[in-house]
Amino acid sequence: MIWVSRRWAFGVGLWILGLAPCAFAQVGQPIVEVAVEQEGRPIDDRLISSLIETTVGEPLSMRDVRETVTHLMSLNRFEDVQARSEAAGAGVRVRWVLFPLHPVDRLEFSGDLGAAGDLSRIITERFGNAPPAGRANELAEAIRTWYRQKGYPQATVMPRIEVTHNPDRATMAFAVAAGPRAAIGAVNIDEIDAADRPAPPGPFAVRIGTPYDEDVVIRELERYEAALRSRGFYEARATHLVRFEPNGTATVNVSVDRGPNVVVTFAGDPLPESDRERLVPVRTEGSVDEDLLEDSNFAIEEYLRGRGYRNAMSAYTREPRDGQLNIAFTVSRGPRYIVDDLQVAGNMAVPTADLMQLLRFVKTGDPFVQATLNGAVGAIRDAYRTRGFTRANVQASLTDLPPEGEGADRRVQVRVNIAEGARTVVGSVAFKGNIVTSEGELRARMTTTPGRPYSEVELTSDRDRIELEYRNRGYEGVVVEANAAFVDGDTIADVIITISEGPQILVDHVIIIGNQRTRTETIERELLVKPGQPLGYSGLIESQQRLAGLGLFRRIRIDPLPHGSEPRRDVLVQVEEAPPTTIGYGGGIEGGTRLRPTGAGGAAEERLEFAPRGFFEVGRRNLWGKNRSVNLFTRVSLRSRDIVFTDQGERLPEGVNQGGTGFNEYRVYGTYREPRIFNTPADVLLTGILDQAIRSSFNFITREARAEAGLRFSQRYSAAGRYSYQHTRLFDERFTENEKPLIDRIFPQVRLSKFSSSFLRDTRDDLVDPNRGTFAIFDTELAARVIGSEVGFVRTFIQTFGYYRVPMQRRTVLAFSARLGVANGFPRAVPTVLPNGQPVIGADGQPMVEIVDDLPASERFFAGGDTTVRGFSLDRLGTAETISPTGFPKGGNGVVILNGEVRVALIGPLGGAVFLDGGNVFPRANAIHVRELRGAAGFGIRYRSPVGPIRIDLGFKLDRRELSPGRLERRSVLHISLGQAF
Amino acid sequence: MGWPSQASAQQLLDRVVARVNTYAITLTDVNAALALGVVDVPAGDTQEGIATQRLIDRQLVLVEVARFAPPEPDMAAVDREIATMKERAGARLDAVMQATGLDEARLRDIARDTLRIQAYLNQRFGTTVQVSDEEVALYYRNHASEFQRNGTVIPFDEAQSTARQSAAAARRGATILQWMRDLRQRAEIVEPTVR
Repeated sequence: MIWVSRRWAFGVGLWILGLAPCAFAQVGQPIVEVAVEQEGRPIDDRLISSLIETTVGEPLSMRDVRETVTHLMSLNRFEDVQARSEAAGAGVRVRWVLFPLHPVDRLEFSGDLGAAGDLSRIITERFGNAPPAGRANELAEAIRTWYRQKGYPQATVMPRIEVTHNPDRATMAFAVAAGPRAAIGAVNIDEIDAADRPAPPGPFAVRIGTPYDEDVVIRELERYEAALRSRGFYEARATHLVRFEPNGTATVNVSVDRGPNVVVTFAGDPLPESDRERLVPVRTEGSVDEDLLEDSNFAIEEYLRGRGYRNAMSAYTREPRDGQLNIAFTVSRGPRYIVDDLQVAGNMAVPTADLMQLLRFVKTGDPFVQATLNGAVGAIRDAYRTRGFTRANVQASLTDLPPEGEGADRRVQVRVNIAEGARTVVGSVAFKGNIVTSEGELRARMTTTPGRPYSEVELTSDRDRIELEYRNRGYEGVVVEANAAFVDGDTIADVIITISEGPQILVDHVIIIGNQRTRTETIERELLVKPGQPLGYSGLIESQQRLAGLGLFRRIRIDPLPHGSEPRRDVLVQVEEAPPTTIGYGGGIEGGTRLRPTGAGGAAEERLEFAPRGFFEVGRRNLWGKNRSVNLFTRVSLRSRDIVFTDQGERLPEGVNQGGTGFNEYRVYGTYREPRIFNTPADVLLTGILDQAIRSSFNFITREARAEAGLRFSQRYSAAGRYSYQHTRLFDERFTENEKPLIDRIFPQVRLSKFSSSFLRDTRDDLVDPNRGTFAIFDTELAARVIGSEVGFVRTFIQTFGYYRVPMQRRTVLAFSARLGVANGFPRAVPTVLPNGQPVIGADGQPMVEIVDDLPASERFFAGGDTTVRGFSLDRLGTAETISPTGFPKGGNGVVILNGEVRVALIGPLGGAVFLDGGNVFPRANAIHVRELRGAAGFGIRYRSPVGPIRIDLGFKLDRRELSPGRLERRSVLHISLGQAF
Repeated sequence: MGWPSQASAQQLLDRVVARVNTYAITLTDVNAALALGVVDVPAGDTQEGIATQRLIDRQLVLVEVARFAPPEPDMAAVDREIATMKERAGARLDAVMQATGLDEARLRDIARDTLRIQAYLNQRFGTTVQVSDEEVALYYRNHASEFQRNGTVIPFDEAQSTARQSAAAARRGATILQWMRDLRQRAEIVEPTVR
């Protein structure tokens, strides 16, 4: 043993080791000054200063000196750190001298390089982009070898390191003298197939007189080997050695061992031609050794037994003859067995239904496969052990039924016999070796408790939990053993948990490097490892996740660095910042059925329309190093304009705003995000929106300013509160003045000031295309005149979505949703006015007033379309009160939407879906009634693209109604869009 | 900054003698290891260099020990190891500890590591190695100087038991040396130029 001494190293003293006694005479004296310098220059670096433990006023301690060296070296910036001292009056001056690392960031090659190719690539492939300077000689040797392989036997390569400062870098330079290149002077082949010999210069394209290149020779030999294998010489090998002659030529000695010509034949029962190569991979493996042939035998038997040929046998023979090796496989598959019946007997504690679930792959009518049955029997045994039946005996027996005819499949009855034995319960749980953790704390983490059935699986989980608990408290060397002693005929298990805690590891310093723009405090805020606290395992992992969650860094590494064997670690946090500015742009096309006033007299008609759209966004994150961010998003769609009719129902000719296409739908969205405002867990988002959008019955333009505070309580739960001030103007209304709700007539432009809040619960496993989980959101809004709104209302929208993955071979997901929206306007009295603006005077001589409690159009609920009820075009769903006589939706104060969908993966990225939707829009919240719900069913296809599922759905109304006498609704509606419906 | 121009006025307190991956071995580590007999170094002018190499090896092994931790040594064994180290330092213990920045806790850590290394090596390479009769005979022939009594080589029959133990230990040592070479090849070891 070379590093653990048991002998005294005689004659060793500090004073012969280069440490002057007077230096240590200064130990204990007060420090009067501390200076730091690097390459002859004093430096003032906050991070370095924070790691220096020799402080003015304190006595000089070698422990502090050692600690400081360790901390500074942890930065991975220095090659050496030296501490020096000198007497200064009544104290001592300490001087820290730092020698920075000069990482190699350039490679240079000079001199006679010959025809070497890309030498940098040779180095970077083997040593990376930044080869260590200390390995320069090794690199030089690698280059010399390379030259030799290229035919330069006398090549010399001299490495040197050229250091540069500010920044501290180095260039690794190689002075190369390639020397003369050897041409091939002779090719000697020690054995070759007689058939190849007549073709001079042999089978290789290795020509005498050409420069020697090892790669070319090897490539040619491999080509020759492949040619031999194609002729049945599966074990053919061709190698070469090169000798560089004094006259400057290269002699290539080729050795060929072509092996026997192998012929593989199959006899007996047939094996599919397409599977033979896979089962007997002689050609692909290039071998006919015994192990491979035995494996092939086994593979053939398994192949057949997996198809019900329970007694399948395979054997092979090797017969060398006349330079040929004949390998003959004889296959006897025997009769095929089919499961006739499956029974379970002897089970008392576990219901038969549970056991049959474990036996679900052994199906009546399927071929009988012994391996499948064995797997199921093992699963049943495990199920019993989990329930405390540690000695349960599970055996399968087979009964062959008489054959039903010559060559017919045989039928077999399968019976699984269970002898449950005595159930073992936990008698006691004891702990040994725990010092820092109380028995009560440990018991709280145990599932295994006295009186419960004894389960090896649970006990292992308990062990793991206890170990993790210790690791989270910094006991990284903890060893936890869980054992059980069985008494009373194995019915009682006394469990003993033995713990060897080891030392607790504490965090010494947290060193953060690599952050250029991000403030150190921003990073520290996310770290769960703090100086002086235990170095917890989960804390490290969670810290990494939290830093990644900031979205500021391209790469994050958190490494605990040992201080020798001491139970303290510096934690080195290395980050590489992502670019602060992001730019995104894209385009797409949206297709769907929309309502247009193209019917007689401007009546609504459904038309399939496509709208190209594009977006551009630019964002700047990590403003002022505090993870603040600002973003601007713009989107525009090119849509066809409405065909406009006069009030008399006459179609106007196409003009500036009539017909044709235009950028009549756009959105400009600017945000500013302030995370953890005022050191609280809440994030604040300020938003400005300019939005022009098209609805089925009207277009509108909105300007909105919004302030929002969001709080995430846990991975699942979050909440947000917001205030918004918006101004909305309606235009291009598709219903006549008489059809308009009074509120829209009064407020074609409306100012809204409102508070709102949202509560969310989200357990989905994927936001874009979930397989399982639920999502629920509860939104409520309040607008009131006392806070500056022209209209007052309260509005609540509750949405729940559920996703369940069905245990089937194909990915099959059941998706459900239920949405309920209710709103109520605060009544206000509005003077009735004539079209000329004059008030209408009542019989009492007073101006007449009307009570309005509707919501303005932009706030009302609509339904119908690709994300709600798919048998209807966008917004087209509604009761008689919420659809105008011309067929345009007016919206309502109540909405119900229900969806059910089955999503099935079909081929590759292609999937299919069938759905059933229902819902309706009601004029008032108290008018919502189940009998008024309208249904739609349909099917669709999905394509899983890199940007999310592309979806085409065809929905059919379950009950078509008359729009006007004799005019029925359309039966079906086609939707094309991106993303799942819900 | 009023530093004297003559470097000779300054005394070197500590410096880095080697870096093993990210771990730094300092001059005071070397001095402490020598004084406490943590590493086995023959007397001579090159003690510091040899001790540095031993500490590099020790650090490489400790990384392996951390990856596949052996059972924790018991307190009594650690106490015995500490006592042994103190005994080696003898009367100079206090001076050594002050000059190298050691304290009792650090001594305990060093002792624990020594025991963990031993346990790890025993666990990985076994405590005994079976050697054939031919190997024992070969060892006896090649190391005749180890089997002398009164200036003459003792007969093989008498020396066989000792030769078997020595041959087994030599083979175990060779296996460990090869393993160490592999560890060194996989690590980045830098020994800064002395300035």
